[in-house]
Amino acid sequence: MILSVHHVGCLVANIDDAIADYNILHPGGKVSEVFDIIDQRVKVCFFSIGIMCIEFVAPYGEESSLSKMLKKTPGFYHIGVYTDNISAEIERLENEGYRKVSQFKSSAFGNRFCAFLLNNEHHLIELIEAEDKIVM
Amino acid sequence: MDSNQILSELNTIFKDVLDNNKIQLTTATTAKDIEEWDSLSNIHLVIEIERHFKLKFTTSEIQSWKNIGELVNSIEKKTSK
Repeated sequence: MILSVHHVGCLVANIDDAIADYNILHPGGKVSEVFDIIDQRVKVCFFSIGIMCIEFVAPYGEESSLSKMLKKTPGFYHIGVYTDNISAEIERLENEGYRKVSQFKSSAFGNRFCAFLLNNEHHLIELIEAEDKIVM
Repeated sequence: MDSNQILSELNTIFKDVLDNNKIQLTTATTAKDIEEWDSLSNIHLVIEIERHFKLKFTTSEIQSWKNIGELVNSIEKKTSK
């Protein structure tokens, strides 16, 4: 089952610039380390606001999907939610018409499984395998 | 609906979803021929194609298409039932 929202993903050109901008919105917001997700050719970093985070995602490599998306539509593009059983949730959502885009282990979440799915509204959802200890 | 009509309607969907008015699909077109057609945009395309033609594809069907012609055939079979 889906447990909670962890973050909203935000495409940015430069993580340091994004942190500086969101420090204006929320001075002193807690910032995680920067993770290099090599398989996806992105660098990510979490900026905490209250109980939720913004995940800054900076793609590198001109040919990646996200690099192309960044040029056309930078900004918020996915929501990340914790689940206690990622395989069961993927199966349930696919049976309901969601489409799996990718599944991978993410160093940003302690090498736990994550998966991106698109729903019929073309919204991108990231499932994150939950663990007691939340990476921040 | 015949294959030419399906191809024409697919062309409109591809132009819209991929935001590229220069796209001119043929039955031989593959993802390598269109810069904007990648793994993520492919799912966007599938969703719009399903919505437009009022049908559903299985994951194995989606993975089986080698070119636009095979997609057209798949749509033609489903819409003729």
